[in-house]
Amino acid sequence: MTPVDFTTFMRNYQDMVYSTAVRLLGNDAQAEDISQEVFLKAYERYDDLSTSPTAGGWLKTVTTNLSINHLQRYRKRWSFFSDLVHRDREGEDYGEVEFAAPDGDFLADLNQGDRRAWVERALEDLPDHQRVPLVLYHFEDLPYDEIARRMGVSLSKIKTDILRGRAALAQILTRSGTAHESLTAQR
Amino acid sequence: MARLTPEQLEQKIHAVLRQQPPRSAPASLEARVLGEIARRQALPWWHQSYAYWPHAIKLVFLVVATGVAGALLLGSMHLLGVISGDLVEQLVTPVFGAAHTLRSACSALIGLVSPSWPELSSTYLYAGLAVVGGAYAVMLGLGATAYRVLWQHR
Repeated sequence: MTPVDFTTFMRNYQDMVYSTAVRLLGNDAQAEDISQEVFLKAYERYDDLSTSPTAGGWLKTVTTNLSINHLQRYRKRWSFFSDLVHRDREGEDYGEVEFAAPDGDFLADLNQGDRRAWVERALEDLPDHQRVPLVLYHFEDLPYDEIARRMGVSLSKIKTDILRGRAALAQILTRSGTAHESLTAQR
Repeated sequence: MARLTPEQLEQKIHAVLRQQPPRSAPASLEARVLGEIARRQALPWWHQSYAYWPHAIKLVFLVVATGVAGALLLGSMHLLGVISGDLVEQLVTPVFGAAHTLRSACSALIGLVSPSWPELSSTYLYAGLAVVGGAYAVMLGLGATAYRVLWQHR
């Protein structure tokens, strides 16, 4: 194996790996650390991965697992407090969600670049226990029970957190879209 | 104020999120990964994980580790009274056959030259062993200190 081969391999997948990590972690520096760790693991198995058609899937799975492990290892507190808050609400049935939703799409008034930045910013603003399952469900297409298994929490808690995450995200996006706030002013 | 069912909300959020393009990895990521790979490759084999050891070293390590594990197992079973000393000897003797041969050869050689040696008292023998043990401990301490001072903080 030559470094050139691996460099090309890394260039092909680094945006996907970094996107997955940064959306799960909500932190640029930590996402870069996790991405580095993922590619170092990939380098150790490069003989297999270089010819594997499932290399992208392998990288995504490793990125997801390392990111979740990182959150569980270093951010136990949010899990603890989140459990306290949600334990007595598990299984609660949510009806309609009320907020100032636009008739069309969220952020329809913004140009594409601002819109993308707003969505990423809104995702980062969500608490970990809402953002992580939301990202796994909508970006990684994992079912609820698989998300619950990977995160080591109950199925009802995952459903509750995802629903609350969607509502919180919708409120952030609606507010930013209707108020025409400046993205830079919010930062 | 609009009212959305959870299903409608899921569809709207899903549509927004799936339109997001991948985030661009920072330019520093590639250099960091390649630099770390180069740093790891520059390490000597004994500082790397087992997968990167030379094949000969791996083989020696496996043989030694198997021997130590087997000796510990047999010793433990013998101490617990599960197997007798005779059985242990029967199991161990073939393994150490080569060592026995070497020991016999050494004994014969010593037997040839021993008449010319002066008679040693047990005091001298113990003192010699103590000197050897002490020298070993001093060398170990000096080696560890030299490693910590000269190498570890580089």
